[in-house]
Amino acid sequence: MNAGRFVSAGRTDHRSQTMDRIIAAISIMILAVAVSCQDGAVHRPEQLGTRTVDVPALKNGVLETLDCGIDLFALPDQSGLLHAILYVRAGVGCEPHARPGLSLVTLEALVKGGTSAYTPGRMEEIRRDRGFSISYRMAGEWVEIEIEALKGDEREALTIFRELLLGGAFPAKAVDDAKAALSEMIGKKGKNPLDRTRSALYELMSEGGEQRNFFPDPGKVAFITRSDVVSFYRKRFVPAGSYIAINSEPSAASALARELFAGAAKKSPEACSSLPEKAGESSVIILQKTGAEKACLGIGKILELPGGEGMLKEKPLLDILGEVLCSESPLSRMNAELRGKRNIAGNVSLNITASRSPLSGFLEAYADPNAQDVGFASYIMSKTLTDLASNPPSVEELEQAKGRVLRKIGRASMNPREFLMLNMSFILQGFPAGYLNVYCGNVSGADAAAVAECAGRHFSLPRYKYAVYGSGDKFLKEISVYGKVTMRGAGD
Amino acid sequence: MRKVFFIVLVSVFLFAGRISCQAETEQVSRVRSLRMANGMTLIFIPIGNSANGSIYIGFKAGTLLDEEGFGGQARLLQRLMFKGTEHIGTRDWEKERQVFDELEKTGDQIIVKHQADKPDQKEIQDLVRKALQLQDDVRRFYVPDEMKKLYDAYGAGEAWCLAGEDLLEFQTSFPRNYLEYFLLLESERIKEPVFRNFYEERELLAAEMEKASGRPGDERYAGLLSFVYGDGPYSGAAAGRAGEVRKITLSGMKKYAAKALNPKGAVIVVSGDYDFEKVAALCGKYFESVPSGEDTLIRDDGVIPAGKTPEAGKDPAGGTLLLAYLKPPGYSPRTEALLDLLVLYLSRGGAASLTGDRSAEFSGGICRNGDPGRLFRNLFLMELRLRDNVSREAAKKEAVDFFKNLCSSKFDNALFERTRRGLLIEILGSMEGQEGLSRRTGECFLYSGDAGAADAYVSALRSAVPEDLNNAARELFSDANRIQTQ
Repeated sequence: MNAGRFVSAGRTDHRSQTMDRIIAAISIMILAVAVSCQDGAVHRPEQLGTRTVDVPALKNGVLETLDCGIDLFALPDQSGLLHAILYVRAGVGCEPHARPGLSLVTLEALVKGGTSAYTPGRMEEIRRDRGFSISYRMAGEWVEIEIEALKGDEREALTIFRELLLGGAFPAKAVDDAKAALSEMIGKKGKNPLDRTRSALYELMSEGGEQRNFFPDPGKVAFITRSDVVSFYRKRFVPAGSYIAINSEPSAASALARELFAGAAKKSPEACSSLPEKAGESSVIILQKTGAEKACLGIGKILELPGGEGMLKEKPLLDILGEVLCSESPLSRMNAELRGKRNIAGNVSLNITASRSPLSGFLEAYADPNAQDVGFASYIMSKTLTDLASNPPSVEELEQAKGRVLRKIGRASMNPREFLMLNMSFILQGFPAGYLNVYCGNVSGADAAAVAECAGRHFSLPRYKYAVYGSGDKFLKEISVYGKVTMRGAGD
Repeated sequence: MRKVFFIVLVSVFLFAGRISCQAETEQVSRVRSLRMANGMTLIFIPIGNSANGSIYIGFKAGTLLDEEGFGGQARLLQRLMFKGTEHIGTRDWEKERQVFDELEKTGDQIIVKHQADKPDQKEIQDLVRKALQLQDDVRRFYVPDEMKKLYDAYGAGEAWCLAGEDLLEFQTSFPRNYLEYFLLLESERIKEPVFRNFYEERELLAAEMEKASGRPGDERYAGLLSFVYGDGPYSGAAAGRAGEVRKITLSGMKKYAAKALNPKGAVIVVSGDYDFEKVAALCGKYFESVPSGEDTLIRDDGVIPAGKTPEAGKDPAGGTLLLAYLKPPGYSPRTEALLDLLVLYLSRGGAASLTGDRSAEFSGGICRNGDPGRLFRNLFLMELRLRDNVSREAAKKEAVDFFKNLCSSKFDNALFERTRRGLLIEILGSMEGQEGLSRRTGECFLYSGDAGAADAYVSALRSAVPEDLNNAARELFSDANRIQTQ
């Protein structure tokens, strides 16, 4: 069609006609190539070129603080199901160091032991008669209690939240059962090398502050008393600073929540200890597991984040960096280096956490090399991180990484529960309620230079922490070049 | 406390609901459909402002419809559907095709030699050596995982293929601006699949089947099948199938695939923020050219359980009583919803007068509406555990009367409502995401031929009252529908 337009343009001189013919011929050739690509060659991944992901404007929810201090986030949708989640800052990161496991015991005893109005028997009735599903979990410093029911049951769901937040009964048996359940869970899962490595890495990064001991010694759990539980509950389970997320129409949800929480005291919780804002010196911890062929290597670093508005731009860049470094794609750099090119690890993972309130962020990366390869793997992982500043992502790498970040958002937006939780993950980290659209825009607009500069700000070499679970005699010398080594038994 | 209970399974929710339900009674259908010239139906579910598109494709093929003597065909096809096409996964298809054809021919020759009265072992070994060499030659052209890389590169979420009992299903979701690209990819792998790594995959499947056979419950299950189907082709247990898989040849697989991937009666469900006209035009462009062969697999509609044939099924020995009803053809989604409700109602204590502490005959039991594995969906089946020293005939009469009388029984309102809410939550939950919605809509169509069946099922659940169960019971639990046994 282009060729046709050129020929009919009406020029008359000979040179112009020749030129027209040449241009027409080239245009036809281009068209022919395009058609042939459509017919097959386009299937080659390397011939696909760059791609963009088109994410439409996402629906914003409404965040409102009630008189008692609870933040209510309402995000209406078309689902026939009701999803309501209560978030309370009472997780592992908030428990006193002398009482490891207290947060988990408190949560379990609260939900299982019920309240004076909602006894375990009454809760069971609600499950059975109304089809309520009540689940709970812990994520860092937050505990989450989730209810799934039919739309129309909002009042009952929010009433249960009110009772759990204000009226925990903690019968002695529920506390004992919760302790037993936690000890059993530690027995089953607590020996996992990755979890142990992660706990040790957090310990190093916290510089003696936050412990995040996910798998406390069962012996210490035994010392938790009902009094400890009640005291922790009273300090931490308070309206102010807690959140309720619900997939309901905002004004109706607000009116209902205001009615149900009217009169609740506005009491703020004590602050949880958080990771330091500045990274300390490099150091290494080895969890000695004599004779183990395989090791688990964790590398971490505290990120020194910009406060205020700066984080609105930094967060998308950090997430893109995470995808460039390590994703399900075999092309991601850490995967390509450790698995593809060197074949020294089977599993590689990376997580970057960046919170705006409190301002706190860290990077953690894990791999499972053989014990004799720990030193080399540490070098490769560190180098991959530090190289990003001077070796920015290629166009293809950047587009793939941006695409993956946006696809995750797009996919979550198609599922009411996942979308509610995705929004809340940003809100809990101190981002405004409508930030998700800004975030997507910033991801789309990020260029390689900005991503590389972000890497330069955060991934420069000093101040990494290394935690290794494995037979230290096989890698002690190599790993000790990264900092002062502390060695202790793996404890299993 | 009741020491025994009536365990009931709604084995498969045949029909499911839709996502667009603001309140329990609100229901607005947005689904549009059309039938293409080759017999394939397009169902379109518009989802405004959706970031993703989703494609579900379903065929009436599955493990139940494997050809006799070649059990495992569907599962093998499932594995081979990721090995590429004539355009994908090859360095040079024209050259690869020549080697492939030779490999196919050699595979057939080996089978022929094996089947001879006096197999010539030397000749067979020579052919096997030749086949191994040809396999190596084929590998030189193969670009492994190229199809997966293509899906990854364009952001497909979970691209999967699954051979179920009676369906062969494909699904993928992707950023919304890549609809045409994924329609092209999906159509191409249906139109021109190339079964690379055929023999390796066949052996892997056979090894899996060997491991799986002899699991606890196989014998009991074989009893169920024999009861319903007598000694017909559907009565065999899964054990021993590994041997059958190894009989499948490359050429046999190609013929089977042509039947299994037949667009007649198949469905493609597209959902997302698109115009129906655009979706229809693109589906026409890429899927109308899927060839519609004359050969089709045996359909479940054509299978008549024992009891309706001269060769009746067999009652199991021991302490179990089986009772089966054949659902009349053309059951509506609404009736299916009611039967699923009935099954759950019975499991939650509604069978107290038949089983449990008050029952002299039965200590417990299992009830199934539809397909719990290899049973066809037109069956409603009960397995009842007999108490010791109970007359089988008397117990059978008790059970038959119980179900016959359900049409006039008074259903407990509270128990009914509890059951209805539970089932509704489960169904809505299973389809909350775009992918779940597309899949269930497609499956409902394949079982009913009705693009709106998913809506109808959920509507029925929303509006059901106890008296509806009486009517459903009246329709099903008659002597005429009961499968008689020897």
